[in-house]
Amino acid sequence: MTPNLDLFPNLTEPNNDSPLNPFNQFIDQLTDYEPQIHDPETGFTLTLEQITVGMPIELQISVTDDNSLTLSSSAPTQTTETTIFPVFHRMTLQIVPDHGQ
Amino acid sequence: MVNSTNQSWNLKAFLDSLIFELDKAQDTLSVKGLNRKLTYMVKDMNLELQLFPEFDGDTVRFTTAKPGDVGASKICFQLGSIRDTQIHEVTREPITRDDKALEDLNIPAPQQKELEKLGIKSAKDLERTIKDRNIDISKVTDKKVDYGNLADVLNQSRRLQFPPKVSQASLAQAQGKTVLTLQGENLALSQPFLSPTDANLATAQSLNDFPAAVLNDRPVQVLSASPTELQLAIDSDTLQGSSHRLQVALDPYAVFTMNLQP
Repeated sequence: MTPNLDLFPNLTEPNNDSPLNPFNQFIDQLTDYEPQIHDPETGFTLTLEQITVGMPIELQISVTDDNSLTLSSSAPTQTTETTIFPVFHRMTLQIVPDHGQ
Repeated sequence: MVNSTNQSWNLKAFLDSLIFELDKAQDTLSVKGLNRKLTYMVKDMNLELQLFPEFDGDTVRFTTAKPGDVGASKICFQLGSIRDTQIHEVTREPITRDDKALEDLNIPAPQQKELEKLGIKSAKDLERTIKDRNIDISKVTDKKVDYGNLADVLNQSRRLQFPPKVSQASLAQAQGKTVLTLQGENLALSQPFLSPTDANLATAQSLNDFPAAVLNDRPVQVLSASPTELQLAIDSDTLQGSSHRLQVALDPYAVFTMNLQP
């Protein structure tokens, strides 16, 4: 049996109004990992010490009435090139265990 | 409410929003940490955004590239996590009660912007820069900042640190005059205290005209003035009636009104 290495177990479906999620939810999805992945059959245990995620993202920056900004983001919602193709920005996250320090 | 059009934004608003979102994500992770032995945190973040910068001669603003746009600039933001001790070391202290934010002072907007560019955010910052560090603001700002205004601002700031307080008022007869004595703290501050020692600084109003007082809108002679006591010669005719309004200007920055009742 192949060990479960699915690093994104809680990836939520985008809402119906917009394919983009609030930025903090997007970050939540990218930092939500099981601390240890254990395969009882092989006895392999995987502990994540550091994850570097580099990915293209869609980002919408909206200006509110009080001139603050609202950030919404998502992994690319479209991979097939079309006439009007979303703009992809790039984000790299270095994710480490939080030992409460 | 969010505007639907692709509006431009400034860097500070973007970073504020980005940090707010990261803090929010960290809060969620903290709650997860109550239920799990180990959670993860974002140590570093690198964002490469496709933007159109524009400069209006004063500030730089950015517009996010939208589908179909070509020729956008790539702007990189790199955010690293820092410890709370480092935050204390690198952040400026919040403005205290006895200080005033630059925007609350009576400084013309162009001069205010010039001072903000120098990192001056409050009256205390201004005083520290001019007095303690002896920096010639006029030269640094290419003579865009008026020294006369700054003198008033510095004096306002100093006066805020020593607000006047009247604790007692009494009437007495002395040398054929009716003398009203006000006692308290910080009533009449010495001129060297208020007037700047820097020769380049000049107050808009002469401090020799102070303190001054009017009782029921009629000028009153000031007999003596000290930080703890103010003596006023009152015309006994003006004391007829049940209530009297005394207005005292200790200096251009400290004016108070009292209602005197027999």
